[in-house]
Amino acid sequence: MSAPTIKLPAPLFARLSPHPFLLRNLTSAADPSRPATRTNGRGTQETRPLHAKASSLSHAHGSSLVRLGDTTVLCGVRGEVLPVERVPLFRPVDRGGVGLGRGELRDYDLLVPNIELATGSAPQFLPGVPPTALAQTLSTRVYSLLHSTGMVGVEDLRVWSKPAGGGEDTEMEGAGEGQEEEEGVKEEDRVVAYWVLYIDLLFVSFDGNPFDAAWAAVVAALRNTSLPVARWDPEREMVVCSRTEKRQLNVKGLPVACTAAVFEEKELGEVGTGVPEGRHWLLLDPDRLEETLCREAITMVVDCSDGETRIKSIEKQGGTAIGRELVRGFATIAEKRWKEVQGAMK
Amino acid sequence: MTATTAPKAALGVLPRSDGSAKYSHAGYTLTASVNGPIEAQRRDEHAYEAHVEVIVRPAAGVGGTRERHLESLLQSSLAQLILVKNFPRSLIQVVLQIEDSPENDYVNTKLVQASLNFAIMPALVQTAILALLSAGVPMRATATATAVAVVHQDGAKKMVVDPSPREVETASSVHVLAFTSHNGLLLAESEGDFTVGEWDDVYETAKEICCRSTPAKEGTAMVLDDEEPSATDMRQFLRSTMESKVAADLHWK
Amino acid sequence: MATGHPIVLPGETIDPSLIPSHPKNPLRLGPGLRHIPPTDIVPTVAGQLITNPAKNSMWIEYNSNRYIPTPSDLILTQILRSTTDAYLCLLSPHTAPATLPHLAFEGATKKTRPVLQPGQLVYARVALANKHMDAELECVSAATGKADGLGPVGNPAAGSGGCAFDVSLGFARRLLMARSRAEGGVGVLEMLAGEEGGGLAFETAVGRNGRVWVGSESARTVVLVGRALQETDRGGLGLEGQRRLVRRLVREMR
Repeated sequence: MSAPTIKLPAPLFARLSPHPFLLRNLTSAADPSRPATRTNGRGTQETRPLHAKASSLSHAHGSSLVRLGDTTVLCGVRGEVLPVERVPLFRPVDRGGVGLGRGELRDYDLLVPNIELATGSAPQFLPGVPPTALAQTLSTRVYSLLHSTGMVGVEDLRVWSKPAGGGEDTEMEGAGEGQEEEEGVKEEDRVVAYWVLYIDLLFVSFDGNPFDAAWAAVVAALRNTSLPVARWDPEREMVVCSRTEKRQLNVKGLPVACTAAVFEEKELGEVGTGVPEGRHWLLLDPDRLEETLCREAITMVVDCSDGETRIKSIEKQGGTAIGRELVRGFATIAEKRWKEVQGAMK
Repeated sequence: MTATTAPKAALGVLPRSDGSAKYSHAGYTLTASVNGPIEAQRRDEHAYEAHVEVIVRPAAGVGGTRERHLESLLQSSLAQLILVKNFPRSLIQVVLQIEDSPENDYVNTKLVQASLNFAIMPALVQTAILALLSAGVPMRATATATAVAVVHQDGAKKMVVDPSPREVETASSVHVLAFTSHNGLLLAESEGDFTVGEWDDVYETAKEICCRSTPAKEGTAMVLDDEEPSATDMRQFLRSTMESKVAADLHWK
Repeated sequence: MATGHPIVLPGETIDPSLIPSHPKNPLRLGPGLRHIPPTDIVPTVAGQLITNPAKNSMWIEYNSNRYIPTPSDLILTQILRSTTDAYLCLLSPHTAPATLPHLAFEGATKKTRPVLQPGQLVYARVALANKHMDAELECVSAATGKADGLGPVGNPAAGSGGCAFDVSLGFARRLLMARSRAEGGVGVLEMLAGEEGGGLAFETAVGRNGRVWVGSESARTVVLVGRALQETDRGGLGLEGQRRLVRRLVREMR
């Protein structure tokens, strides 16, 4: 093997011809027995550690800051009361009735995620442009996943005209106002308002794998969310919130997203019969350089909090390298990732 | 109600575009137009390959974030099929107009959002592929797609192919899978709550619909045969559609 | 459809028995096929596979809605706008415009060049057509310096603008054949001018890009001829069908 006559520093090589750069790192020509290493020093199946910090914002009802390597996301959850009179096409709900929990959340748009990729978080995000396709895609994915996982129950977001069950809530508001209670008995118990959760995500810095980071931030922020106790004031005919009392939002399960990108040696379909197919590598938790070089990606969302691994979502697009076997195998990888993230969320 | 309807397609419906297709299946009707290769805008220009642009237009109103998501999924899939390296610095534009979607069963619902994309994905893929074929855009392979829902009913698990919006709502999980004509898994989108084993079953069902390897001649009889458990064989449908199109095209050869 | 010319879809494998194998000549691949080293030949478009063992060549016959310029094709184009030394002309709705130099007309010099307004139809010949380049047109024969019937068609100011009709590319090709009735099976124009049509007086300019201009003193005739062409094209009518169509149209128009 002849040594190259011109020596380029690694960052320049990466900038000039990124594909061969990553390929050479993975194949590590010097020692074939060594496991493949990526340009960022990680193994192919090695993820960046996830750091999650809860309640980092003082004015939001729930918030989190998640770091995944150099990808940093800030998530704030803010609840706002939406009286039912302002809900178009509102259908009354019976207490204790089965209802259409998912339907309500979706129909009245009670969960509103929004993602912003801050200018300067990565070179490709320019100031003063409308939301990029990436930001819109991420919002849609978070939105669908929030609904399909059913993490937030609609019961937590309903505000009734009469406090539930007469438990500790009654003590709080009772305070000698017997008259009000009498009236409450006559009046039929009904939903008077909903909490709408505005879930805003801001990418402070962006270095690949935005969805995993964004989703982890959403989960961490929701687990951190406490909404003020709200009750119906029949005299003023409006919903009032307690200044002091707060109730923790019940978050069901802990779905964790795990993304991998496929790096291909050769282009798909360019191989004739008799020629071995190009190799490909599954790069877990890809960074920004790797994402630009990979067309195919898979994201699997799993939840192992009930002991059994339940898959909540699979999104695979952009190529054909990932077949049935790889998807099945990826479930095990996602399971491992779930344990890591679960540890970080504690 | 919709699961048994056979897909219908008409090609070359728009006179001014390079290729077009109208496709209806499972309650959805879409029209696609393909133009390409045409001149690309500066920001979309790639030095070595054509830029594939997909635009999804909803039946009413303007597209929102949901359409952007569908566009990005289709874009990444179609760019795999089209020989983009043949047309450097140009643009291949695919516009998909949703014309009709199945009625929602609920009375009081506002337009159903995000989850709807699952049921419409296969129709989008099929229409785009047909329009690309009609435009004669060079491609590596064709693709077929289908949607499968897993419905738990009376304690038993059931697979529903091409689910209606109502079935999507009640299903425990919904899956969309697309296969290339080389039997590669091109696109896999799943949502809901399921296990690896269930996904495996779904894969089998979808593959049966998308990639049944029927010999060309007997295949025609099989499609007409109503006793077949899964009535539609997407690949055969694609083939017979193209055969009649090519025959019509070459009449004045 | 003959079994010798199967219909293929992109990415399908071609039956090896269909691939011509000539001992000496190299295999020539035409449009719609690509070669993946070392041995695979794969179609890239949907169409009919045609092989020619004598020339050891194979290609795919397909038809898109788009005209691809080829040198010496006669086409009917529309002026978009004028630049300093050329007109930009529209060949088909979505392609980049072709250029028609101001000097590519009969007897044109720097001082006496024809002035054409945007929208003017021009019957021209493709002079130059390369991949990845805009096509170039001419309205004059480079050898003789004569127009040979090329140039702007129709004169809207004089009230004889005529009308351009869209037909399929294959049909336009047949119309352009020297003996289109005998070889191409298209006799509709002859019939309209002949006894079936009662000797209608009109002129046509058939463009290979799927556009036909029809001009006549009477607007009625223009519409009649245009309809006859389009119905023949879409219906794929045979000679007998064309005769019936012409008779019916003439009767209806009276």
